[in-house]
Amino acid sequence: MKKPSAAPVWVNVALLRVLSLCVITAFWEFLAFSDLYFAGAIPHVSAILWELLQALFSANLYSNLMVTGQEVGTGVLLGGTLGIVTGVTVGVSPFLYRAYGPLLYMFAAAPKIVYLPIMIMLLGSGVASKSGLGTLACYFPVALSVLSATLHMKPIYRHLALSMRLSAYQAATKVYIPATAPAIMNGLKLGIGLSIVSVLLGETKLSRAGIGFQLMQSYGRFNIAEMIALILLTFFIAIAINALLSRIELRLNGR
Amino acid sequence: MSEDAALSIRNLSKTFADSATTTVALQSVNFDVTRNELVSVIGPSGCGKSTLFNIISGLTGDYSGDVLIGGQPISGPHPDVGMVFQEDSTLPWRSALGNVTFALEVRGVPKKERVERARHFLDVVGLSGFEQHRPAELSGGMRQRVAIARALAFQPKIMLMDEPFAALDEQTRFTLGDKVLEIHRQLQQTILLVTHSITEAVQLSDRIVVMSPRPGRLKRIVTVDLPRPRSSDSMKSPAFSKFVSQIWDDVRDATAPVEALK
Amino acid sequence: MRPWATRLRAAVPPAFGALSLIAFLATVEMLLRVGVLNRFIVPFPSEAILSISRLFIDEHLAVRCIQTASKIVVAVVIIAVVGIPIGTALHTWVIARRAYYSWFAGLASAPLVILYPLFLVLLGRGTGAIVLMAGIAGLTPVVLKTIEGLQSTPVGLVKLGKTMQLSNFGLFSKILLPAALPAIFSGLRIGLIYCTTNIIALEFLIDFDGVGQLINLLSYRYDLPGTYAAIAFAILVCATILLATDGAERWVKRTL
Repeated sequence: MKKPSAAPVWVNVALLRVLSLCVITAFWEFLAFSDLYFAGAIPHVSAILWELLQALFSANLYSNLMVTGQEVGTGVLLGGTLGIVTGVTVGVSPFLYRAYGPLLYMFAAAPKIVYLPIMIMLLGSGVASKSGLGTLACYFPVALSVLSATLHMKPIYRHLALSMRLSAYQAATKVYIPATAPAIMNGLKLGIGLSIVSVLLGETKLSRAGIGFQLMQSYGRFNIAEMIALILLTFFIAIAINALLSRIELRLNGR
Repeated sequence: MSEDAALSIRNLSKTFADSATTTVALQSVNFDVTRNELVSVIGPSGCGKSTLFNIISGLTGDYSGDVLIGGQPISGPHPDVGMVFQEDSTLPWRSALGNVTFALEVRGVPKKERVERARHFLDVVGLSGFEQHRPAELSGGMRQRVAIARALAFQPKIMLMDEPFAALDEQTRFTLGDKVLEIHRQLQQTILLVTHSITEAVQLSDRIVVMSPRPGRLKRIVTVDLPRPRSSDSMKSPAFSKFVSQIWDDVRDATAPVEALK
Repeated sequence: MRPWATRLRAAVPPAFGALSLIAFLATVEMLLRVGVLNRFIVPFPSEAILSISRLFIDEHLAVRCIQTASKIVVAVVIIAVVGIPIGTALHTWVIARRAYYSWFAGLASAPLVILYPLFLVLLGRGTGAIVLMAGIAGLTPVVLKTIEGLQSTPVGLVKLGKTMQLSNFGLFSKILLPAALPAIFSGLRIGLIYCTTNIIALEFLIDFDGVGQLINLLSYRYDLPGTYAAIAFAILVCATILLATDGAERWVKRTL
């Protein structure tokens, strides 16, 4: 008798994923129905989905998304540009690397949210301070990634730049930056993620607009379902951006 | 110094020193490369060939003696010198055409002209039809041809080649050697080639500078009077084998005294 | 060149970097003193530096360091105890790895720390919420690195174990796990750094206790020198942990 053929692997993987989501959802619903937490602390999945739907059709969400997007965008643009310039400048010179590399690593180590009081004092409690935080958050991963890539760049590129008598600007823009493009993308991926986190946390702490502010408003009104819906939406956006950047990174690595 | 000398090396010496040791890489090296000549520098490992290349190309300083190009001492990479390195130096983010135009771009050549010249030199090296290919899509030999085209594109007075075929298989080396001979003949290009391959040196050169091992000194200059035009087929001739044998004896005999220049 | 001269020469670039920082602070000090910079926005660097001793005496900085450090230790224990078994399980069960690896990789890039309001709701404003949040953030690198370490065990060693008739557990404990230790340690190091930064950030946000809370407290009091000093101290703490774990990782890689 012929043995029945096993299901393809991808089917089993998909089934396992669906099963896991069902178990997690069922567990969540069990907690929502139980008396383990006070009423409203664990909203039903249907309530979360309803809040998500309402939020997606509300102008409030989009105006807050615009504010957060503006803060993150400014931070990434400024932080990314400064990070690339720093990384190439310090990485290309062994002296500068040994002088400033340790300082860069030291300042990169701390969570950027702790700089929020400084940002507020310098830039106020509005959009600018969160953009400043986003700038710092994006700057360090980009600078360190580009620094490392420039340092370990194939020596032949340096020789080529020297032999062609390129000016520092020409060498940086035509050789070093293109050569370190995968590292720039890797640094930006990390930097954008950290920028989003820092901006959101800054908004939760002190803000009048933005997704983080909207989140804290939900928390303040004890509308936990709305709060979770906003958190899920933020996760989805962050993961989507990361996935897009990973694709670009793969293409750059494959050249 | 001969009046026709495109490149003159005068009493060139170079020492490397660190905390523990001092190494004399080159000692009192003297020779000229005449215009339109193809000269090879050959020697055993550690004879200072690469150091010599780096000094002439302006990538290494802190030496004693003189390096003169067109009668003028150099003070860094010279604008009239084109270089081809041993390692793959093609820029992976540019096409073959983009790699060649790069050399012209940095010299401020207008776009239309640099594309035309790049296409011409890609044709010279036999890469017509591959202009839009990226280096990753080309073989090792083809990438070196792109590097040669790039070095030729701005019509340098001298081409310096540092073991350009070392990383390639033997068949590709022979093919590229024929290509270099063609370039030399067609363009009357002055070339200084650093190599560890004796057959390559004899196949390509008008003269061969034989270096002795550390400290790198000029042991002998051999004039290769094989008839031109040459090709890889020239290797079949008895005269070719005689030159190879002679130079092998020189290179192998590490303790032979330095002879008078020929 | 003599060894002492070589060492002296090697010290020049880091000394140059340190002097640059001092020169920057000195410039800020001077600009504040002449009134170019506003001292109600930026404190005198000298005052900020001198405030550090005040933080130890008046603000019990040493106690706060212990509070932060104890949270970090608990969080790291959690990520080790939970993360390594999860990574091992995913390595062992191929279907599970294929199903969940990308989820963990995705979680690594997700802004997990913004879940903190939810944890405040569920666990209240306290140490538990902070530690658990930091643990979740630090878990993914441990899981991913454990999988990576176990998967990259040289095939020859696995064959050796099988020819010696080792049981599955024996193979795991005597071959796979030791071979994976450098990668697992690397994951724990990254996890520790994530835990540290998240804990300090959450202490700042939730205003509970520890080093992070001190920054919050001093900024509310508008104690500018104190705030800057506390921030500098937090940076030093994180940098010290990074340096110490870097050295430890290199030692592990050399030894194992």
